[in-house]
This record gives sequence, C-alpha cells and structure tokens, in this order.
Amino acid sequence: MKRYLSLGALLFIILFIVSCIDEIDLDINSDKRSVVINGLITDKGGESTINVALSPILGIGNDNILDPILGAQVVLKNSQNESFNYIESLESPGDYTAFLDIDINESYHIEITLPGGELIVSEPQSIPQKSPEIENLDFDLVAVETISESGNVAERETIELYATTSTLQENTFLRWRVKGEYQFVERAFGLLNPRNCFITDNLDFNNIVIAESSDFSDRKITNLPLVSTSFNDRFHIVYLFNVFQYSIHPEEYEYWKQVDQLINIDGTLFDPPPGVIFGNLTNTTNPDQTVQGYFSVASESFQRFFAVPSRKGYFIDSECFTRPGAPNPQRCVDCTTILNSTLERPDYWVF
Amino acid sequence: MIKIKFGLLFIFVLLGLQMIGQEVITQTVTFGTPNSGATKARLSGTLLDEESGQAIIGATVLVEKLGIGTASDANGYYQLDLSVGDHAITFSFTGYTPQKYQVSIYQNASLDLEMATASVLLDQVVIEGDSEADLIQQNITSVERLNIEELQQKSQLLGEVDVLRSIQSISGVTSVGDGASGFNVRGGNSDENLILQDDALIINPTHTLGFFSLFHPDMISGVSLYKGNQPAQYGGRLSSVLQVDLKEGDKNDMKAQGGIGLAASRLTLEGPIKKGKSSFIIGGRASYMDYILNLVKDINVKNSHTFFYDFTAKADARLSDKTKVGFSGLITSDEFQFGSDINFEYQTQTISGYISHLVSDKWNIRAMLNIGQYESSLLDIENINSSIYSNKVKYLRGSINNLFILNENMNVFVGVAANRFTIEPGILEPFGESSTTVPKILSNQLGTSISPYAQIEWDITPSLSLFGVMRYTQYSNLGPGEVAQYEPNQIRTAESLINTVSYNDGESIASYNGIEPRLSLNFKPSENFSIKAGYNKGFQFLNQISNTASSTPVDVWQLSGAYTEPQTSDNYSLGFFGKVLNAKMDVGVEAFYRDQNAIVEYRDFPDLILNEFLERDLVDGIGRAYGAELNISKKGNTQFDFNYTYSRSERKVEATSTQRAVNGGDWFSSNYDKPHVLNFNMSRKVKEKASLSVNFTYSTGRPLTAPISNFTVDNVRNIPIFSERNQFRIPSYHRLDIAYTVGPFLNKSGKVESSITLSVYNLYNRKNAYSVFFRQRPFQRLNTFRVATLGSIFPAVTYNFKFK
Repeated sequence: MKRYLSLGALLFIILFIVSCIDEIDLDINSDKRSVVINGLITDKGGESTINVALSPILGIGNDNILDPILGAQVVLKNSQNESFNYIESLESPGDYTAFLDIDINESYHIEITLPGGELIVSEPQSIPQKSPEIENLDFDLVAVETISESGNVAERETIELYATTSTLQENTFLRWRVKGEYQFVERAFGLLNPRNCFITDNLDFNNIVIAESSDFSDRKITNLPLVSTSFNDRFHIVYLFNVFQYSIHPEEYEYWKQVDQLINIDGTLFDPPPGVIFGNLTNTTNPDQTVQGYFSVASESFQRFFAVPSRKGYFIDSECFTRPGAPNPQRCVDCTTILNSTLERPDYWVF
Repeated sequence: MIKIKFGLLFIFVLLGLQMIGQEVITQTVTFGTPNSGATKARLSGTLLDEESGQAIIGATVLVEKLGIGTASDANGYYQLDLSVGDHAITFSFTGYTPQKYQVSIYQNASLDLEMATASVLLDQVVIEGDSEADLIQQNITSVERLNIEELQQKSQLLGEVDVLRSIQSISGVTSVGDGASGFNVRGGNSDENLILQDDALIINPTHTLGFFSLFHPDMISGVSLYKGNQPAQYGGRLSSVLQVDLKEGDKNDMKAQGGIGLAASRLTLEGPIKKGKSSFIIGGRASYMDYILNLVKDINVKNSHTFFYDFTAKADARLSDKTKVGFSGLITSDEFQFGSDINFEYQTQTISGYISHLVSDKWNIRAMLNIGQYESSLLDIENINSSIYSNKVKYLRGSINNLFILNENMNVFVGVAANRFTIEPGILEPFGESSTTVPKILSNQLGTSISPYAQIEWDITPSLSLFGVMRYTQYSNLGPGEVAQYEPNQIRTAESLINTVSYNDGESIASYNGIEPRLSLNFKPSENFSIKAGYNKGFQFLNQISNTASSTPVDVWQLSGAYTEPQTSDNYSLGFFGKVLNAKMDVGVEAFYRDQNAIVEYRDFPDLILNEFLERDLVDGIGRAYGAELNISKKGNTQFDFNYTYSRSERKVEATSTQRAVNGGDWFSSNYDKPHVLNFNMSRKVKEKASLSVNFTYSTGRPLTAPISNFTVDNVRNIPIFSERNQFRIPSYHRLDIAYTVGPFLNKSGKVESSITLSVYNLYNRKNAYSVFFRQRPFQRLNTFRVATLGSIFPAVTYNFKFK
C-alpha cells in the first residue's frame, strides 16, 4: 500500500485587528418633517400635558430637539362628545395642559388643530383594564462588564431595580416609567451649616420597559428589572424610586415594541431592518402626512420605594471631602447648583 | 552550501523531467472501417484518474479542428458525435497531463482513458468558468464550473479554501457583505439557490454565521453553478443550482491528507474497500477561533465563542461493468455564542445514496434517495425570560432518471423527482429554574411535491443546438394543521380574525401545480463564436423567512400554504461568446431579465419568530432583476479573468384589500441590489518557480434605509424617523488581495513536496462596511457608524507540504 500523507501547516500573522465599528459620513439629505404629538391621560385624572411639535431636519440647526408648535388648539373629547380644552403653556413652548376628571367607563380621543388649520385626531380609546398592584419593589447591586480603551475588561457597579406584580389578568399589557429622587448633603471642610438638597433624577432616559401577560407563566411577573443606574454617591444616603406602572392597550404595547427596536439598532448581524413607525394619530386634513408620537390612554399604579444600599451592605462614599484643601466639586458647598435640585423637603420624604 | 546547491540542481532536474512529462502524448486509434456506410459515429467513454480510479468530472474533450467538444459528467462519462473520418481529439483537465488521440472513427465506439496527474510544476490556473470550448459548445446557458485547483486560486480568508467565497468572483454572483450567510445570484434572494453536495440537499451551507462554508475543501472534486437554465432534474429554487461534487476515494491505495490552519484543521482519509472495485473517502474539520475574537476590543465579541466541526463521508462501488452504487453523508455542528447572552447552535445531518445502471449502450438509469435535516436553536439569557428557541427542517427526496441516447444528435433525459418536507417552525422552552417564559410549540408544516420531467439535447444542425426541458410540478401542503380565516377584504390582523379551520392528518390544506418549461438555443455561426438564448421558469415552495440583511442560522423556513402561494420566476438570457486574438482571449457578454411573482416580503416591524399567524406579517409582491455581464479572460504566462456586471434587483408591494403597500407601491431596491460589480483576477509566472496573483473586487454599496429626522415620545428621545425602504446606500465595497507563491519544490528524497505562499487579504486595509447604523444620543447630533466585519489587512504566510 502506498502511503500518502499531505499536511499543510499554516503560519498566520495578524498584524492588527482594528476596531470593528467606526463613525463615517454618509450623505443623507431629506427635508421631510413630521408633526409629533405626545401625551398621556390616566384613570387617575389630574394634570395632563400634551406636547405638539415638528420634527427637526437632520444636519440643519439643532437637529436633536423638536420645534414646538405654538398656537395650536388641543381638545380632549369623550364618546359623549364632551370637550375638555387644553391651555397652551407659557413656560414650556409646545406644551398644552388641562386638569381632568376621567370617567373610567368612557373612551377618549384628542383633536388638535394646527395653526395652519390642519386637523389631527387620535383614535378613540377606552380606559384599559385596571393596572395590577405593584406587590413588591427591590434592588440589588450588579457588576456589569465593560471594556477600557486599552482593551482590558473592567467591572462597573450598577443598581438594578426590580418589580413584582400581582397576578395579571389575561391580555394585560404593561409599561413602566421610573423617576428617581435622591438626597444630597453638602459636605466640605469648614462648612458649618450643611444643607440638604432633594434632586429629581432623570433616571430612565430611553429606557423602555414593557411586558404582556402571555409572556409569563401563571401571568405573574416576578423581579422584572425596571431600570439600571450607576452606583455612585447618589446612593450615599437614600435613593427614592418613583415607579409608575401603566396598563395600556395592545396597540400601544406594539408601538413601544417598535420604538424599542428602532432605538436599539446597533449594527449587529441580527438587526432587523428599520421601518416607518405609526402611532395612533392621523392628519385628517392630509392623510398622507404621517403624524409621529402617541396619545396614550392608560390605567396607572404608582409606588414609591426608598432604597437604602447600606441596609444591604452596599456602601458608597460621598465624593465630597472634609479635609482641608480637598478639591471638592461646587455641589459639595452649594447643592442647589445640581440640576433639578430643591432645598424643600418633599412631604413624602420619610428619611 | 554544497548541499543547497545540490538540492537546487536536483530540483531543476526534476523540473526538467516534469516538463518533459507534461508534453502531450499522441496516440492513434481506429474504430471500424471506412466502408461501413455510416456518415456519423459516436465516441463515448469514461475518464478516470490513473492512480486512484476516480471519475474525472468536467474534463474537456475537444476536437480541435472542428472546434467542437464536450465535458465529462459526474461519472467521468463523455460522448461526442463526429462525422466519420479522422479527428485529432484532446482530453484535458486541470491538474492532469493532457492526452491527444488521432482517432479514425467509422462506427460508434468507446474510448476509456486513465489520465495521469500532472507534475508538481502545474501552472497556476486563472479562475474561470467553463473553458472557451465549453462556453461556445455547451447547449445550456449560464453554467459555470470550477475545479478544486481553481477554487484554491481564489482569495482565501485565514488560509481556508472556501466554495462560497470563491463563487462570488463569478459574474452575477454577489453577497450582501463580508461574512454574509449565503450568496445572491442575478438579483435573487439567498434562499433561491438550490445547494447540493452530491445528491444531498444543504439547507444552510455555512459555518460561523457565514464566514466559512461547510464544504470540506480536500474532498471536493468540482463545483457547478447553474445561474440561468437549470437541468430538468433540478427544481424548487428560482435563482440557481450550486452542485458541489465530492471526490471518489482512491480505489487502489490508502491516502491521508490534512491541513492545519489559523481557523480550523482538517484531515481526510481515503482508500479502497475492495481494491479496484470500491472505495471510501472520509474527512473532518474542527475550528478554534476564540483567540481571534479575544483580540477584538468589544466586550461582547471578546466574550464570544465559536466552534464548528463537520464530518463528510463518501463510498462508492462498481458492482459490475454496468452497475455502480454509492452513498455520501454529511454531519455538521456549529456553536456561536455572542457576548454572554446569546448562543446559537445549528446542525446539519444528511445522507444520500444512488444506484446507476447501464441498461444498454443507449440507456442509463439512475435512482437517488436523500434524507436529512437542519436544526437550529437560540439560547437567549435574558434575566427572568431566559429561553431556548429551536426550529427544524426535515426532508426526504428521491428521483429516478433515465438517459436515452436516441441518435448521434439527440439525447433524451426522462425522470421523476419527489420531495417531502416537514418544518418544525418553532419550539420555545424556558431556560433555567427561575425563567418565567411560557413554553410554546408551533404546529408542524408538511409539504410534498412530485415532478415528472423530460429533457432533450438536440443538435438540429452543426451550427444550431437546442436544450429543452418540460417539467410539471404538483405541490401539496398537507395537514394536520390549522388555518386562520379573516374578514374578507380586510388586512389580516388579530382583529380581523373570524375563524380557524382545522385539517386532519394528510388532508390537503393548499395545493398548486404548474409547468416549468426551460429552453436554450445555441447558435454557432463559426468555430469561435456562439449566440445563446435561454428561458427558464421555476417554482419555489420552500422559503426562508428572514428580513435581516444577512440571513441567520435560526431563520425559520416556511412552506407555501393557504396564504403564501409558490414564488415563480421567469428567467430570460441572451449571450454572445467568442474567442479573439487567435483564441488567446475569451470574451462573453450575457444579458438577463427575471420576472418574479408572489415573492415574500415583509411589513415593517414583522414578528417572524414563533409567529403562528405569520400571514399577518408577510406581504405579497412582485420582483424584477435585469442586467448584463461582461467576461474577458486570457490564458498564457500572464493570465487574467475580468468580469463586470451591471444589474438591478427590485421589488414592488402594492396595497390590496388584505395588505398595506411598501414604499407607496413603487418599485424599490432589494436588500442585495448592487448595480455595479467588478472582479479582476490576474496571475503571472514571474520566475520558473514563482508566481504572483492579484485579486480586485468592487461593488456598489447595498441599499440602506436611513433616518431622515427624529422625534421624542415621553422619556424616549431622538427616535429616528426612517426613510422609505432601501432609499439610500452604504459605501461601496472594494478590496485588493495579492499572493506570491514560491515552489513547489521536492526534497532530495522526492518524498516531500512543499511551497510557500505569502498573501495579503485586503491589502490597502479598507474598512468595507458590512452594515451601517445610526445612533443619536439624547441632546446629541446623529452619528453614522459603519460595521466592518473584516475591516483590516490580513497578511498570511502559508507553508504547505505533502508526503508522497
């Protein structure tokens, strides 16, 4: 038998592997703009704000904020054709506000007449089934892996907030918002009368948390992560999570799913292609004109949760120092310089 | 020093001997006598490898003075119709010493040849499709063939010879980007290609999400790509047929061959089962690429893991002079973990067997059976919703084919093929004890088809040939199953659902039938020029449901059913082929047009996984693709292959009572519409033992849907407002590769053959965009990012050696 052996030995040298993702210029020109409507009413009633604006043209001016539309007429109507007028805000351009009493047996829609006379109408919506009770809120310290510029793997500590609900009814669709508040105590060498500031924290920018009952066995949501935020000196004393849980219509649930998909396209091999997103508003004067945004009609559950990390054995030092000559940030000696801070202790602040 | 000089002298001597060995051998044979009265005679036979006894597939048989010729088929068989008299006939195939025969033929005759392997000094071969003789002589339009030597000349990534990467240098063949899964032929989707290894159907031909193909390079004898007319036995896919032929094992000696590469290693064993009668060949590959991923500065990629293996086997036996049997099998497995959250696994298992019997010298019958499955799963670790999703395609295929040689000018091929597909479209299971995922199982889909067909190859006159196919297909989607019923003239949504109809086991849910005629005419006004016109109609019942730029391993497959009619395509082509500059240069121009109906498109934001009501997310459209391909190639010391394709691939989805329009019902570019594609390959023998090859490729960037504005809702800022579908394009793709090979040399004992290749992939380090995405952080401007999957220069030094 003739022996035949063939072996190819491959010596391969990678000189360098550059970053897989980099920024480029791409020539995309379009002057198409859309009207954007954004608003919410809940079964709780009270103050309701609707924002009316125009989307920006990319690459021109300040293209990351909306242009407010002034002088619009905004009216909420129920199925009995009763009207509730919204008043244009003087402080916040493009905002229109009203104080409402909501009848949970009614359905509602808004009608917005733009200054040019075009009429935008939302689809009539009833109040969805009552939002289930938030049974429990809890938090934990979680280490998240990141990578440094030099390519080394590092860990970053974050606080994660979890929610547990009562058993959901069938066909329940939920969305959560979380707004944070924390207490900050001035601290510096020689500071005789340190003050307490209470800061409203924009915690959930671009954080979309939604769920539907059919996704959970026994229709029970247990320890659903709501928000994740860096573990820093905001948690030095206590941190208040204000949790809003909205029961919404399935159409709105789909809408948020699509928004979530759009803002999370990150160029992986598995990204679905983007598409044109439709809310529940139509320009009846010009039906071909897409109206962006959503007018939400929801049932709301609300709960406050004070997180005290030290009670779980998690400690974070203040970034303010009391030793002489320490390079303290301005906020350590004047906490009112922190964005959205107030010296007025909220009446619900129990610490 | 003396030893080195002696070694060099030894090599030169060997080279000299080898050069002598490459001289064409001329022999004279006579069949019959001149007074037989016949005016025509058929010469046929089988071409075998002298050493191994393997059939040589795709060898050229050329009657030089007449300029006519043919190629050997999958069994090494050839036949040639000649006028009686004397002819000089050359038998040649890359890697083998050509043999020239002076044939005096006066009656039908058989001439079997055993061809010897050419020397170690084999000239480099430029990548090309058919040889010029084939291009002009072959009656079927738009078929390309590559043998293994040609595949090896292609750009290799990480030192791996790769079928799918190689065929992308053929005009009309593209992909959506580096590392894309699958390929696109003449504007068709990647699922419109019928991919076969021997007789076995391959559902997903790739490893590692598309970076490598699953064809074992040491076990391939050749590759055929039918991108226009398809032979009668093939059907079910609209764009092309990729036929990968496995080698037969050596029938005389045991052999082993292997390779150690940067990405994977491989080993092949072959030898006789019964010497001279039967043989086997088995081979396997396994990968090790985690260390490459670890070099990337991205936490998800760094934490990723990839592994694949494949195992291929083939055995064949000559039961008698007239009967041959064989089987081949393939098992592959892939694992790809992306970051710490997502884990893909996918496997292919397929086995096929055949029996071929020569009933008479004018009738050959061949039966084939193939069974297999493709299974994929996705593990998604997502806190309390961790889950495993899996789907599967199972198939059973069979065919019986008869080849009748009616006379010297006419062959008829008659057969029937049957297929049975079972789709398990999705199973979702919770992963981990704390998972709250609700298990879900979608109902299986079952589809059967039967296709009788007939094919004729007819040389009507010496200058006009016809290739015709009449194929009829009956397809049924069978129960058990449930079909949702919707309000008439309403868009299909949960709200318009009115009823669900149940079907029993074996009950017909939907059935379709139709005729698939195919026709090709080859007009040869002279020896060096031909005009070919072709028409090909096809149906497709099995569709990959994927709306991502590149298909993924877990994409579900769907059979045509109550709401999805079979896709159809009418393909037209017209080509001019000729030899110029004293037959040193081949030139071909071919135009094509495709008209598609019932194509599968998607509404915006479709839900494609675990969707029991998929009909709500699919929309029905039409498609068209058209273009022209220019091919120029030259042989010689400096040889090159150049092709340029201008083509468009477009789709149209109009609003109907049951669906919304896409892009207002206007034509829009498909995801793989690339108007300009250019490939250039050149190789030059710079010294006696050194050669340089250069590859360049350019293509227009593929279409892109881009943001044109943004808006804010509640706490979510800068939500992009996207343009209509595929209105923009990513940057164009171009890349230059070079390779310099020194050798091969033999060592003093003549037992070891070696060569060194220095190669650089992506020489000028272009970051070709695989995809482009957009990110606008709150209160920041829009940023555009490019993802380059092979966005850097890849130099390599390859040392190859063989023990003889």
